[in-house]
Amino acid sequence: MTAFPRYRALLRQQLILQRVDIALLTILAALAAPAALITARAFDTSLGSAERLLATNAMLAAFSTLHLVASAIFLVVRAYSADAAVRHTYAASLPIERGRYALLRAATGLTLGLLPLAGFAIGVAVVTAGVALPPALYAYPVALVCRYALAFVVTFALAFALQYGAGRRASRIAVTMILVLTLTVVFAEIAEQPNILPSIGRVLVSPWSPLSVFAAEWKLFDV
Amino acid sequence: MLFDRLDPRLPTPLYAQIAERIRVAVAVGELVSGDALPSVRALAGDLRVNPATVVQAYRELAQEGLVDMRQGSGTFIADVAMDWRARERQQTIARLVRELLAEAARLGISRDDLQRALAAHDGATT
Amino acid sequence: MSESVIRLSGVTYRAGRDFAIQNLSLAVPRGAVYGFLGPNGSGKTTTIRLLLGMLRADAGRIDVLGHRVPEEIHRALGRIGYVPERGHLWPHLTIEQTLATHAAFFATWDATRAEELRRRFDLRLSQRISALSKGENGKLMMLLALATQPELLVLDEPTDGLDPVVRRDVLATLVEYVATTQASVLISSHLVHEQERICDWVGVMDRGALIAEVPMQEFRSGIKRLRVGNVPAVVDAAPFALLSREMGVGRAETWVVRGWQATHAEWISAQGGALRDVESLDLEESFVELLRSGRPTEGTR
Repeated sequence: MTAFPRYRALLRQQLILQRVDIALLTILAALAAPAALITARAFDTSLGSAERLLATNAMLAAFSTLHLVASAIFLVVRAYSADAAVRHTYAASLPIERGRYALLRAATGLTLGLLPLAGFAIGVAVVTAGVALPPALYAYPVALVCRYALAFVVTFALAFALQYGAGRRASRIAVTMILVLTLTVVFAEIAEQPNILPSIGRVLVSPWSPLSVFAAEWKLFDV
Repeated sequence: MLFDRLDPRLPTPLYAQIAERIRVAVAVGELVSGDALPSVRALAGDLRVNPATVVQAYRELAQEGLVDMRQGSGTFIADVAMDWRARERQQTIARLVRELLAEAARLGISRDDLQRALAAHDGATT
Repeated sequence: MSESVIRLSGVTYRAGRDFAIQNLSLAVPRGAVYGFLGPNGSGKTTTIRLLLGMLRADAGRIDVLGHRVPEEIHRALGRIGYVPERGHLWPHLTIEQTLATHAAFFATWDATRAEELRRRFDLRLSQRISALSKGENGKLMMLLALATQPELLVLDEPTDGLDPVVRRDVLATLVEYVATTQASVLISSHLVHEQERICDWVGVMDRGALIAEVPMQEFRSGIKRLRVGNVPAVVDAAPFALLSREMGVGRAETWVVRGWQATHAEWISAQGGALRDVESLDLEESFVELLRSGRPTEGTR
């Protein structure tokens, strides 16, 4: 394919830059579902398969949230930092409008995000392979992956808008805040403690917010 | 072609220095009729000077009838008669002498001092 | 009025509390090799970044290759070869990857020419940008700038820190390119003797202002050092600009003047002075004298 030479050039550049990041993120993504399963002691065969899957719910929610936030941040921030390290001089010397360049960066980031997504899908497939799903729930692994993909796109878009809109310092502050928030939610889930930031959480995932996708519970099947 | 003494710090403009070097080369037989001078591009690149400087030098020589600028093929030494060479040689010698004497006068060195130095120089190198 | 490839009119730019550039007007004629001279901190790099749209001016108008800067600069950038002061390439890429990326963005990329220059500069495709020496980096940046066949070259200290052999190579390829294409060049450098050879225009910056902008020959021939005896008590309304005067023995002085013509000798005699000597200055001396004269406390002794 010889179309979109600039997109392909930037994609190649970002892939070379983030080879290691993406490999790590993909492996972690693939391990998310199995790890959740194991952590929730869902191999306890005294439980029915449905209950086992239910038990992995909180774990998977925690891992997935953390993972997709980390992926989005890495994909956005690393590429931007590579440009910022040379004061954006090279990017600014290219015969392309700033807006279009940013758009290309969004495209390359999302494209590379397909790899951890594929990893996640594989993990979910592995987990559900050993389980006899009731006919009505055959589509749920797919729905789960779709939800993850959507959540990733939303997180990526937010991180991207922050970084490319406000630059380094603002993004560093925002990233720190997001990470703190995420970790709080994650640990609350794992420790089964009440979430200490419930009100913020409620506002963020309210139906009209783009983050509402996070409110959907990460169940492998609905109860 | 050696232009190693090309120096923008000298009062003579660069194009004049280049033209003079070529004149001298013809006068002493380093360059003969029909010889091709380097292209403007090549000479400018070698000397790291503005191409217009080389063009100006070549043009001046063309006006004097020393070179032919042929569109598309380059610049060549014109068919110069032997006596032009001899004349040029004489003029160059005369100029060198004038310059030496002028410089000596400026520094307060007398004719006799110069002649003594010349003799001493000859003595030392034979 | 001939066409300008770069034109700044009344440009002002503030960096922090002080003005880096105030009311700057500058024009680079088409086909010129314009030497940008000035001491460190005079605003040359800032001016270059302004005209390429990397900084936004607070006031004034900038046009490059007929396009308004910064609104339309991306349209002109495809015809501009830029060599910045510091390395600007992604360090994790190899030379081969860098060339491929550049080629993807510049429609006029000439792969044959790029290969020719790469061989001439002895650069290996597998070398990583972060591992390049200063000389290799300098050569690569000139290669990238020239291989896109630009109409305009904007070079910010392209030979700074390079050893003499590399400098010759880089300048030679630049000059050859100009000879072949009549491209316009804006070259900023503090290596005055290099500028003297290759530039046919000179713009002198000092403390954010352009204090001279003339053809090179005019600049050089116009500035002279005079030795004058019997100096009159008052030197007023001279037909030339007196940049500096230095007292000598008795009433003899050394003057550095600008705008000198041979006929001015008569004016000096008319004032009762005796013109002993007229000496040409090279570009470096001219430039130093011009700068000194602009600083009131140092200009005259």
